[in-house]
Amino acid sequence: MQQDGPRYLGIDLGTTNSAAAVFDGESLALIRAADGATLTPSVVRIDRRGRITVGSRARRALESDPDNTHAEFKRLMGTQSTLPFPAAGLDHPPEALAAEILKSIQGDVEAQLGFTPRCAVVSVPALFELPQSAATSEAARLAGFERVELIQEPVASALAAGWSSDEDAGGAWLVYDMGGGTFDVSLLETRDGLLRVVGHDGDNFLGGRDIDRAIVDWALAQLEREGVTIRRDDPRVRSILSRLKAAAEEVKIDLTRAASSQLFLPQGVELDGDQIDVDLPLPRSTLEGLMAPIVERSLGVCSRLLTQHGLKPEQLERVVLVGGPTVIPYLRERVAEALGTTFSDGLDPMTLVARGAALYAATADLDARPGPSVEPPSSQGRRMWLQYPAMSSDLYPHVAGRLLDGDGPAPEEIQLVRSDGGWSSGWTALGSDGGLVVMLELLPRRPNRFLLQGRRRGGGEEVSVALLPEHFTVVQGMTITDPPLSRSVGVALANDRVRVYLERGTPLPAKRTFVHRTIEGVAKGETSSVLTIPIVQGELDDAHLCRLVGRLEIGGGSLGDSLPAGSEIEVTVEVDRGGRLHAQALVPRLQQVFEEVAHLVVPDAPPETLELQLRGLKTRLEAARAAAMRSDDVALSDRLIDVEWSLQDTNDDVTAARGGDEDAAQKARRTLIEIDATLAEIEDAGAWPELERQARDQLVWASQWVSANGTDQERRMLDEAAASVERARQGKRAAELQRQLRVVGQLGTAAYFRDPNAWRRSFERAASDLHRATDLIAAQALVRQGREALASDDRGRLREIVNALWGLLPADVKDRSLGHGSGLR
Amino acid sequence: MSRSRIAENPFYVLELRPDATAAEIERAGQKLLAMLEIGLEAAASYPTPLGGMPRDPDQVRRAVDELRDPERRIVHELWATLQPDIEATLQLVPGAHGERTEPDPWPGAMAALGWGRRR
Amino acid sequence: MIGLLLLIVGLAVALSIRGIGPPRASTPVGPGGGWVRVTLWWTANVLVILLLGVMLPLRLFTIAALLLLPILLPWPFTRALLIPLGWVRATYHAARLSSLEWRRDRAGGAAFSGAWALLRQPEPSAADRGWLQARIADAPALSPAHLGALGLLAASRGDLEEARAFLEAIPLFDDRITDPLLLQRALDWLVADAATQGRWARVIELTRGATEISAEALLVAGVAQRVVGHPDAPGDAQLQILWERVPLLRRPDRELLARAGCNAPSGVAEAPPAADGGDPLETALKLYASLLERPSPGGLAAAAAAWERALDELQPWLHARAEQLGARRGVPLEAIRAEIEQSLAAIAEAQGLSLAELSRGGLLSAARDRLREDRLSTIELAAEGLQRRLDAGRWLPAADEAREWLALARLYSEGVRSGGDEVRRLVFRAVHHPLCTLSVELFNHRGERWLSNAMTRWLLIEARAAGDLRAAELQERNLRL
Repeated sequence: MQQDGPRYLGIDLGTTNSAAAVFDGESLALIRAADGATLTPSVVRIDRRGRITVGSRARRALESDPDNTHAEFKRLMGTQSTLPFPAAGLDHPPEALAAEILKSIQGDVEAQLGFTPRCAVVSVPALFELPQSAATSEAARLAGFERVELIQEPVASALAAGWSSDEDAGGAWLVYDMGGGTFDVSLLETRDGLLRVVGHDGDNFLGGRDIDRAIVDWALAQLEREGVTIRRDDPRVRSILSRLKAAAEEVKIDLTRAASSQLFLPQGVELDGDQIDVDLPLPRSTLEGLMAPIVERSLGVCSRLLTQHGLKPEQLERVVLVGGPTVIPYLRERVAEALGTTFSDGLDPMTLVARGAALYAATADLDARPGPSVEPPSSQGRRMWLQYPAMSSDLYPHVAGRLLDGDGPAPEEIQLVRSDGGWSSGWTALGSDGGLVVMLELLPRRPNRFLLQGRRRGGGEEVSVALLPEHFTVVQGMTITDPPLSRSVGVALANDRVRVYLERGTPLPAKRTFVHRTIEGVAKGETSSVLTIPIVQGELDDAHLCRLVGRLEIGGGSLGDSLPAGSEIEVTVEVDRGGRLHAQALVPRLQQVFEEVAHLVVPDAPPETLELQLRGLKTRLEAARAAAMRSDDVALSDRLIDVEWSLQDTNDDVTAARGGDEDAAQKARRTLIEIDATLAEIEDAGAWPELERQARDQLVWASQWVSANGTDQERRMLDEAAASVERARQGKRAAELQRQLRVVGQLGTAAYFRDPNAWRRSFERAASDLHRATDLIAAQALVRQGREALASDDRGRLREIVNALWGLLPADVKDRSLGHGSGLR
Repeated sequence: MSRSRIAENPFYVLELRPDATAAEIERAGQKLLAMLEIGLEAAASYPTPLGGMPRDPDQVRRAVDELRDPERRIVHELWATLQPDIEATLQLVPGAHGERTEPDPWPGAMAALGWGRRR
Repeated sequence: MIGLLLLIVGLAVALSIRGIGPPRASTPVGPGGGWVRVTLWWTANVLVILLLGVMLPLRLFTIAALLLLPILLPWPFTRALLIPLGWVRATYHAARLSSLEWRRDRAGGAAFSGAWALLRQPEPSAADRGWLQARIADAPALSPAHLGALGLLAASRGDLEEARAFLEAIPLFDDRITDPLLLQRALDWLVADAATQGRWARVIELTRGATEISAEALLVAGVAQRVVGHPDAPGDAQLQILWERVPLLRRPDRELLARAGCNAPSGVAEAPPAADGGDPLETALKLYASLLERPSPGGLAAAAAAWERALDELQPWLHARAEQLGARRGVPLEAIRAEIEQSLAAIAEAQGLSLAELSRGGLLSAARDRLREDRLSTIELAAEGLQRRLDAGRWLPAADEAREWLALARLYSEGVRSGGDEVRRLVFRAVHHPLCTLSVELFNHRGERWLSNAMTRWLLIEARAAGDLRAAELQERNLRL
């Protein structure tokens, strides 16, 4: 390694293990912990005296002291949950624990390199939502980093894989990243050394842990066969479960080499006072059977991504495997079979992400050394402000510079010379604003140093002028320019649609402004009247299916003047590189700006709510199935079977959530949203024929009454409406059809009530619904009066009575479900 | 939306024509970002068929990213067919350079009719 | 003698001060009641002047008359002196004495005059605005003059949109509460506003059929007819007469007449630019870009037609480019077409073009459908939002309720303007229920009979226009209350 020069630090903050790497412009080195290991288990323990233990030492306490030791808190980042340490009487949010891991890595860096790093790149899963990314940035801040940038794990892996490959393999790459808790698959494309994320997909709740869980489930089933019943939703057995899980992890690792192993708990377990021995033989074939559904699910995600981008597996140039579980032979075989490619070999799947993060730190020019960067004190000269890429995939990048004000003579012309002497820019005159733009020429795959020379004309002669900096360095190699946004960000509208501001994949930082109109007025001074601008994240069109990540509120209390419905509002949404969200709303007519964003965390998922949702979805599934049976649609039935399976899986998660498994609760929450979306799609497909049928019936009914009792104008209007119904039906425009049907209905009703007997019939119908009245006694009295009016043939009176009766009967509540209560359109 | 297809077309933002290569696009983006960062006047605006537009770093980043995606690039190529020259655009509109096409406004009306202070 | 004089003056002042008290909503200031007081007031005035003339030498008489002028002729004094000076509070108090001009609604008239004075300040003062707003908020019921005052206050803040909405609503109010002077002044402001922006057609529309119209408004209307080349435009002599008829103090500069001189409208109805024979895509883009720069209905039709031709030939090019660039998913022509439709619709929307103007068939018909759907759903959402608020029992102050009503009415009339009666029939059903609920609530529980009455009148007019006989019947009944 070079002695001076920048150091770029990359940290893989993993669910189970974390790792770090440092890059100096030429080579990559891993950061080792005190015990020499390159991996730091992401485990934190706080003992009764408040002492914090991190990493492998904490991991050992996972079994002996599970209550005060926490692992896998990364999956709870950005949620409201805190993790308890009862012995010390402390409660910590997940980001505080992540900060402890980062601090420990900082210590290791200091031991190895001799300085405390102040900047770093930290990796996050590709599908992290904004609150989760923001929590990661917050963890880095808590750990004492001055600047931090985030990179998505698959991008980091691919960057590292691309850096280590000898040839410039252009084309499509697939990164298969099975971590402890998450599964990401990304499709990347390299062209001219520039890496681009084409798309990604994944499952935030699929990973090595699920294999462990499958093993635990298997063990529980085995034990049950021996007459021991341990229920997951029983909070008393938490420590037994966590010991079983640890044993499952061990046996899984054993089986990557051996053909058979045992799941064995040394002290056995105690349940209801009985001592039970746990020693279950587990052959590799059984494990493979247990793993198969998990692996197949991950492969399903891969083929979904490939199909979406019009690719076949054989068109893949390279597949990069990342993450602990990818060392399991069975998984490698299955992936190779399904994707038909061999893997980039010689890459350590456990540290690839950290290496890539370090490479990205160079691209982002995040020197980890403590600043300010030291200039040799002897050098004197005019300062130039230079902008150049610290790392460039392009062999011909530009450098832009501007002469800063200062003492000493100013140069008129400037020349850049590459330190090997192989290239020089030639003398270039500075612009009127002291500006300079020069195209450099780089030597491939190495740091290129450029010397800065200046000169001016003094008394007919060329006088050279000293410049600062005297030189700068550009590394040539694979780069990625900006981190892409993982999920689209938009504003939910009142009609439950989403106005997308930043599409997924948009390079960060990014900012967008759109103009909306309010649908409801806000009165000045009325604190109860509030206009809500919900900011959501997700790929679905329906706002209620997207995640609410922030909320901007315009309250009557803070308004300079009342804001009527229909007022313009300019909303700007901005996301920075660290995944932090900023938003502001400008009300042009009041010249007032609102920017207090209520940042929301991933919502809690209480088991009761989940169960309620689950039940609701089951009912909808039944209805959809009945409809599918009627229409005899095979494709639809197939999709419904998928839905049913997912619902069953979710059922298990909800059960686990009841036992206190916050992680399962989050998983269930997310799956329920996905099922909701799928069902809504299926229902929509079925809704149209129903609407068409309704349209036909309504038209027949209305034309019957209008032709009998209608005025000429009404007849003409009905004809027009009928024509509009037909047009809407042909154009398949549901909203328009419903609108026209309302007109038809109204015309029909008006004509109907001109019939002498109409009020009598209406009265009879209202009277037969008497039991639903809100005030039964009053309604009964009205019915009595009605009978008298009928007897005396007093139609005016009857009409009044029917109207009064209707007032007592429940109206069908018409309520457009608002997208997160949005006040915009 | 419609206007921005032309006014903020990535090709115009980067001052490239639709036949630019991928490398030229990256290079133009990198160059403009560097120039904007240090505030060089030359990068402050760009010509379009709708006249000159101010340029900011956010736009440049988005422009480069848009053109990296082949599908989106094709659509942008379509909208960047015209030369970035407003004179050429307006040659089809009669009287575009002469008087305004809407009737004269009367800016002094409020004051003249007693609704504002007379100047 | 002097005792008699003091008695008469005291009586007159007492009479006018009695009128300063808030008008009780339950006892409308009917025209009859107003006249009795006005007659008494003037009789007293004449008596005082006569007495003074008999009693005093000429010089003393002049001084006394000048001192008494504000009390004897409060409105001319206010109009000629206080309003131009921008003295808001003095204007307010003096206007409260103006029992002839503001005989139907003196409190409202005073607020309106105060707001007018505020507009005359070089920088309208926020303190005065707040003071007036407090006076308006104190009123037991919102009258048309109060609404007009709020409109002028909005104008003083630069919120012309709201000012227009409020002032345009004034004729909907009941005659019994609307002074002719208010109708005139409101119309004057609207005319001046339209003329400021050169919307001469709007000036003509505003003044046509107006019952109460000032000489100034008639003059501007005449000029407007000349500017747009209206067939009934007045000749030079007629215009001169219109100008002469405006009272000297209020007469605008001759510059206005010069405007009417150029009677050939500068905005000739542009012929759609001829398409050249070049590349269809280039032609379409050129027409489209010029449309963005200089929007016109003709330009819209030409751009739409050119796009139609260009899109027809686009498919092979799209295929070829997708092949060259390795775009595996390809670019669907439909997506491009949809986007162009949408943008043409947006231009039509921004230009306030009527849906009927968009020709049938092709891109423009799709644009029309899109625009229509957008407009209708906007109105429906707004109506539902209002209904939801009313159902939840969240009531706003009267002025804000008026603002809500007028905002919804504006969306409604924009929709109707672009879509005609067919759209009117559809959206009337959406707005009728919430507005009717609001109007009834204002009448029954809030004592806002004037505002409620105006809303009912609007609903009745629209119900008849929409052919909704049942709603019309209902509103007729409500109006009789």
